[in-house]
Amino acid sequence: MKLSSKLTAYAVAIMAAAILICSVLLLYTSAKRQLKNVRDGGIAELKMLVANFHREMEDVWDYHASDTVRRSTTLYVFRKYISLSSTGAQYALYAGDEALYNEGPLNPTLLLTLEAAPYASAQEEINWPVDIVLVEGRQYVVAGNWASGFTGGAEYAHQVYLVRDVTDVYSSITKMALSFLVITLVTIIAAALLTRHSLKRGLRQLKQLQNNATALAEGKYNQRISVVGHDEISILADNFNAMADTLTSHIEKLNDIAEQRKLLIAALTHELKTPMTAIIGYSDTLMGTRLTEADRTKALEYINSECKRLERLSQKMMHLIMLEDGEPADVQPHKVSDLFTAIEYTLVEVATSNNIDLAFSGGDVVLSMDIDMISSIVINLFDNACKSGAQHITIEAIDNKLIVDDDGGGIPADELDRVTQPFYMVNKARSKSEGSIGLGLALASLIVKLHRAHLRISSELGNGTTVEIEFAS
Amino acid sequence: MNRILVVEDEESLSYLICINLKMAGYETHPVYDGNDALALLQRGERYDLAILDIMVPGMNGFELLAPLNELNIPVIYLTAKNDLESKVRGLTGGAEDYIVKPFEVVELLIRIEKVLERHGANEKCIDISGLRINVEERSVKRDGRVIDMKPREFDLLVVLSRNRNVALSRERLLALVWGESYLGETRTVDVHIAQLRKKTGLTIVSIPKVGYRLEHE
Repeated sequence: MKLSSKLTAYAVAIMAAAILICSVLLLYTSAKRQLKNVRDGGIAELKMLVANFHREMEDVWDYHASDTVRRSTTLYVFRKYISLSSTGAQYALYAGDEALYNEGPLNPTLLLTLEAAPYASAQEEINWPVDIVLVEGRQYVVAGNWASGFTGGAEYAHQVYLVRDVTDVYSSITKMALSFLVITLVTIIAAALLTRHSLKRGLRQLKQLQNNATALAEGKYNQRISVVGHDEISILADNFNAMADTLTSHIEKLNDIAEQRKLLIAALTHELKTPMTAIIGYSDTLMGTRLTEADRTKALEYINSECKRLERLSQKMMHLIMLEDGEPADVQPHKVSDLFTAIEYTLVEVATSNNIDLAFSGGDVVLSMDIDMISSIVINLFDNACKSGAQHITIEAIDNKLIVDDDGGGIPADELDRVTQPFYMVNKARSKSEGSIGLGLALASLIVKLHRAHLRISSELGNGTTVEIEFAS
Repeated sequence: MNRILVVEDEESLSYLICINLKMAGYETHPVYDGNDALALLQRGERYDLAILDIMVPGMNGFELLAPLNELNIPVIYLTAKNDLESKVRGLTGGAEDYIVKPFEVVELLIRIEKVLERHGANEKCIDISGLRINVEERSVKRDGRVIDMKPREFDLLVVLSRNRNVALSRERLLALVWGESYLGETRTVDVHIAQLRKKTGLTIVSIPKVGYRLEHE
């Protein structure tokens, strides 16, 4: 996967750079220190020598001795002290350009420049020039000291030099550099491998996500990712699963709706067949068959009533469809008494003319409803009750419920869960003769759904029906 | 007269079928519930043919098939169920025919005729407007006197008589009398009708845009 390679490359590059810089710095400071030690060591050694040398020379200096004597004395003392050196350094004694003593491999005067200073004493803090020089492939530390003389006088100005072969220091530095290099390389490679491995593991879920997203794009909605860990990628995986879940449920819902629509259309088509058969049949008959006057009139009446049925059917269908797709219900809190006022004129008239005892109660209850829609439900329920032969009908509001109760013919238990299906009629013959389409309860259940309420129908054959609308609290 | 049991719960359709059958000369007995139909049979009522709607309350059309078959009453299904399964079930169960709604009334009449013919229940003698038609002998008599008739004229007369008061189109008459594969023109129908009118004196009216109708009280 390109991302893990990219990230690995970046990480390894940065790490390598860091490790390298670290190593280089370490190496550099280490080397520098070592060389400083070498220089300081050289100076310290030289200082010690010069201090001892000068001290003794002061003791033994004889102004009255001859040059030759003085010379040999000087040399003698000098030799005495250089033999005490334990580091294997070489010393040289010069007077100007003349080498009084030098058994080393180099001429230090050529390598180091000493400044003449008026009466310099080993005890005074002055610059002790020191340098590391490369001569014929070997490194030497050279330190020097210019002294004007042994006693207070300016005779015998001389220079003392220390020369020590420090090539081994350099070679040890080189070895150290090499081992640093090896360690650095190994470390970088190990780090690189580890990084690659960890990244691959960390990003594995990403790869899974990619696969799932592809599957989703191809329409396979049932794959989910098992979420491991708590980092951003896990959260992403979680979110992805949630998204897939939502998609799936959405699609199922849409499929459900499409399925229901299909069923509705099938039911509608079926319902259309009968009026159409009648209208076609009667018109054919009127055109072709010789009929009695009475039959003729009846035929025309049937055509008329079936056409009107078709009209009612189409109206109710439009209502149903508009409810499903149209504007949401205008749900407001209303006192139930407002609802009663809206419907009682119509209902009371019908009740009175049919000798039905109609009672309203619970007008003070407040329910969140669309008055027009709920009115149409209540009127329809009242209608159904009348048609079932009820003598007593009550319309009542209690708590968050609206209840229409009647003592009519009731609904058989095995048909109870089908009564809200579009076009379903319990007593088809009776209902059709009264002009029913069979959509009343289907519309009612749709309106109830729009109110996010609950429709409950309980009934017993011969014992009346109770329809209860429970509003969301 | 042939007795026809009509089992259909839609009043409008039941009435439609009955007035047509009545005018065509059948005796109709409508019921609106399968159980009522069974009751009639158990009471001893017999019919020459039963027209059944499958979706009726009580015993449905399929359930009524067995008792009707037992009594040798041929069945024609008349139903809105257009699916193959129902058709297969109906026909293999023993029904003679299966018509799907919406249907043409003339279609129904013709099929009824065909079924009755197959069952030998067709009337052998038809009395119409003073004529006596003997289908077996292929003779037509008025007041005992034989009326000479060409074969096709006779067939046409029988078809018209069996479907009296119902208009039949020229194409339909051509198919019924001359056969489905007849390649001639409907003009021949007109010619034969004219001849029939002359020979028998029957009232055969021409209904514009529909066809010919033999009228009889």
